[in-house]
Formats: sequence, C-alpha cells, structure tokens
Amino acid sequence: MKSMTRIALVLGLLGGTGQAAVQGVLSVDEIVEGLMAELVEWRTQDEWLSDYVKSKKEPHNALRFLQDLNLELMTFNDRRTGDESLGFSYGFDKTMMRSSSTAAWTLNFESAGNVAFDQAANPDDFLNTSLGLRFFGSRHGESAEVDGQPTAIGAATLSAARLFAKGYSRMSELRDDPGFADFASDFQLNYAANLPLDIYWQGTGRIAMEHNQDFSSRQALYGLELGATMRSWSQDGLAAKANFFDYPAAAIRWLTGMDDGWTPSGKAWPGLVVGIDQVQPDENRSRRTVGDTDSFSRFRLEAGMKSSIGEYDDKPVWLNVGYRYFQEFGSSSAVEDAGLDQFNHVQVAIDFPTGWSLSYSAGRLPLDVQDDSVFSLGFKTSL
Amino acid sequence: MAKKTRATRKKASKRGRAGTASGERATWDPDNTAHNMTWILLLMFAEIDEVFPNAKDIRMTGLAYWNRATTAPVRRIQARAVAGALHRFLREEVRAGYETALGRGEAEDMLTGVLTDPRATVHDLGVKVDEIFHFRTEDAA
Repeated sequence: MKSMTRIALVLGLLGGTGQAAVQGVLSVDEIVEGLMAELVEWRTQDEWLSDYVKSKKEPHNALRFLQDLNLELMTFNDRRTGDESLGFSYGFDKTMMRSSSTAAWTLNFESAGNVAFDQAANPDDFLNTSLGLRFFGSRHGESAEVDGQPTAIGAATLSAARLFAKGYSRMSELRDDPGFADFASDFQLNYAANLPLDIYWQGTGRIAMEHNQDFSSRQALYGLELGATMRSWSQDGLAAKANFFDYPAAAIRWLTGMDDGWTPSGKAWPGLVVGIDQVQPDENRSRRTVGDTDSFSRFRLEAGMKSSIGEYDDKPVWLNVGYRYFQEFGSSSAVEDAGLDQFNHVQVAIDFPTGWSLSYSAGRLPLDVQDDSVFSLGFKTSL
Repeated sequence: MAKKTRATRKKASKRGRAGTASGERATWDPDNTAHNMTWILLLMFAEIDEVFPNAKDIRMTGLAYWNRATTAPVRRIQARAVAGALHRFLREEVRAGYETALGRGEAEDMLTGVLTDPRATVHDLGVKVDEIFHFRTEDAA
C-alpha cells in the first residue's frame, strides 16, 4: 500500500538560548539509513491500527472513534541533552452533529497536539481539546437552479475526464497531448479566469481545555472565534496582484526562473482565525508560580499560508508558513514581568518534491515552559 | 421518496461495478464519473499534478492547499475553499444533483471532512463525491 508519511527527523538543533547543539557528526546518508530502518518498524505499527479499523466494515463501537484519530510518529530533540526522543503528534476531529438542510453548521469535538515520551524534548508542549459549534458560509450563494444539461465547460470537462483518465502513466505524456493542452487552456480561459473572488468564513463558539502533555499545567476556557480566507482562481486578476502576502514567494519564483514575471498567486491568500477567549487558569502552573490565577480575557490570532517558491524535477517546492499570537487583556504586572501575557509562535517549512522537508519554528505557546527555536529536517516516504 | 429510490439504485450500481459486498468502497475507476471528475478538477485547480491511476493514493496532506505549518482551524477554512470550488463546478457546470436531500453547506462540509483528514486519499474524496452527487451518466448506466 502506498501512503505518505512525514517523519520529523529532528537533527539536534537549537535550544531555547539559540545556541547550536549538534550532536556528533554524521553524514546525511548515515542519518537517513538509520532512521529509515526505524521508520519501517514505526510505520508498520502506526498503520496497523488504522488499517485494521478501516478494514472493518462495521467497526465495534469502541473502535469507531479511532477512525477520526490521526497519529504521526515523530522524533524530538531533547533541549537539555540534545538526545533524540520518540513521540507522536495526534489530531482528532469528530463532527458530532451536522445541519441537515441548507443552513450550515456543525458540532465538532477536536483535540490536537504533540506528545514526546520525554516531555522535556517536546518543543511545543501545548495541547488543545475543544467542543465547538461552528457556522460557516461564503460569498457564493446557493445555486437557484441546477437541474438541466451541463454547461459547455461542464460538458467539456465531463468528456475530458472520461477521455484523459485512461491511457497515460506520466504527467509529461498527458501534458504533451494536444487535446489535453487545448482542454486545460479552455478551462482556464473560459472558466477559472471568469470566476469571482471566493470568500469563505466561519464562526465558532467553543469550550476548550488547554494543557501540557501530562496535564500538570492546564487551563479551561470558552470563547468565540471568526475565520476567513479568500481565493482568486484567475492568475491575472486584481485579487492575485493584490496578494502582498505572496510577494516574497513571488519574488523567489521569479528569481528561480519558475515564473517569467512578477506573478503573485490569488490562490495563496492566507487563512486567518481570530478569537476572544475567557480563560480560567486555576491549574496553570506558570501563573500559580507568579501568584495570579484570576480569570482573564485573551485575544488569539492564527494565520497560515502556502505558496510555491520554485520547481525541482517539474514539481513545485512549497513554502508553508504558520503564525500564532496570544495577547492577554489587562494583565497584572506580575504576569507581564514573567512574560506570561503574550505568546508568539511561528513555523516555516519548505517541502521538496524529493520528499525532504526543512522546518523552522520559533517562539512560545501558552503553557510552554520556555522559548524554543528549532530547526528540523524531515522526510516523506511511501511504503 | 424519489430521492431514496435514486440512492438505492446507485448503491446497487456501485456494488455491481466494484463487485464487492455492501459497505465496501468502490474501486478507483476511470469510467466512474465521480472519480474521474474528482481527479480532473483537482488537476485543473492545481491541487494535484498526477495522472488518474497515480492520483488514487495521494493523501490530503499531498494536496497543494494542505499547509502543515498551520493549525487545524486555519487549515479547515482553506479546505473549505477547495470544497467550495469542487461543489460549485459539479453543481453549476456539470449540473449534478444530490443523492439525498442536502444543502450546499452540508455537502461542502462533507467534502471538507475528507479534505481535512490527513489519512484520506484522493480515492476517498472520489468516493465521497460519489456519495454526495448524482450524475446523469449514472442514469444511463
């Protein structure tokens, strides 16, 4: 079975002080060879349970929740010793209820975070479990009339899908087919280029628990959040040109020769989530230390974007960026002095088509004990 | 009632095509309109860059939209843009109907559910499209 798994091979990098702490000198080949051997075993264990659950036509009730659980085995670098530590990231997202008509809302139970078997090695010891009622919508309304014959582009796409799904084993063969090239050009010129700017939004009311991996520090909260993104399918439209978030990536694409000119992408607009939370930090260890466990209000911002920055072997090299910001309102001087009123965290990752990826994360999340600045090298593999 | 009849007919057709027992997902099939449309739309929207047979096993984490540096709420709103684009084309250009009584929000949320599942593949997305949409080609089959 072919599957994609990213292994985070953290290569001993920077600790909270920003000092390099590389452990020994190994060649890349040696590192990859050793860790790939371990990977095969981990992967086998990782996939066993999910494959077992998927293979069951009607899984037992007790196992059904596992279908919504996603695990990824990882290695972490211990900040104190530089040693590698095993662990995993997990994500659980279960839609418990969903609107049954045109109204769009869902009730979701979510949990996500990183767990390291040696907790001190966990660079982002901040886990989140929440129950949220989410409403969503878009600028694009419900179609008034959809019955009838396909439109010209709809019919052309139906024909093309049937025709080009067979007889090609490589994309280069498909691209070289003049019929496909004509269809692709027609699709872009007569459909994608004419689409209006898409705007999507969601609003969520939620209750949540934020905690570190052993629950020794935790805080409960409730709050509201709003999220939005937009997307322009036309490469030449104003929405693409106005995407200044993509200017750095566009500059790299231009410099690397991927793009002939200055072409910011309308598909690379960031997604943005902002929220106001009311936090009850009774069991927040850091705040107990400074003697302030009063309930407080907090602003939260999460943003992310992804764009290509070049090509290798005719495949894109991707730049992934994520940013998180937390700011407490009206914090006490004790909290401010301890640096517990504001948290920033940024992560940047570059994915290469060969399977390698390079990541850098910096900053601190609530409940995290110290600032981290971590480089990691990862590898995607198909087993 | 008519909707139920249509859904029942499709389920029977799926069993016949896949040659499998009830409950097992249909084989990735170039003649299945839901499957080949899922593939070509992901290709046209530049979410994937693979021929049909190889697209089957691409995970959602391999789609262009999937940003592994960001959080689940941000990723979800971006997945919704992809789901919205698929839904709009299939409804407004292909004029596909719904298999059961759905609204746009519910249909898009079902697609978003697959798009945000890191273990799901393009094949799984095609199966979901088949569950949600009814194509005229299925009436002729």
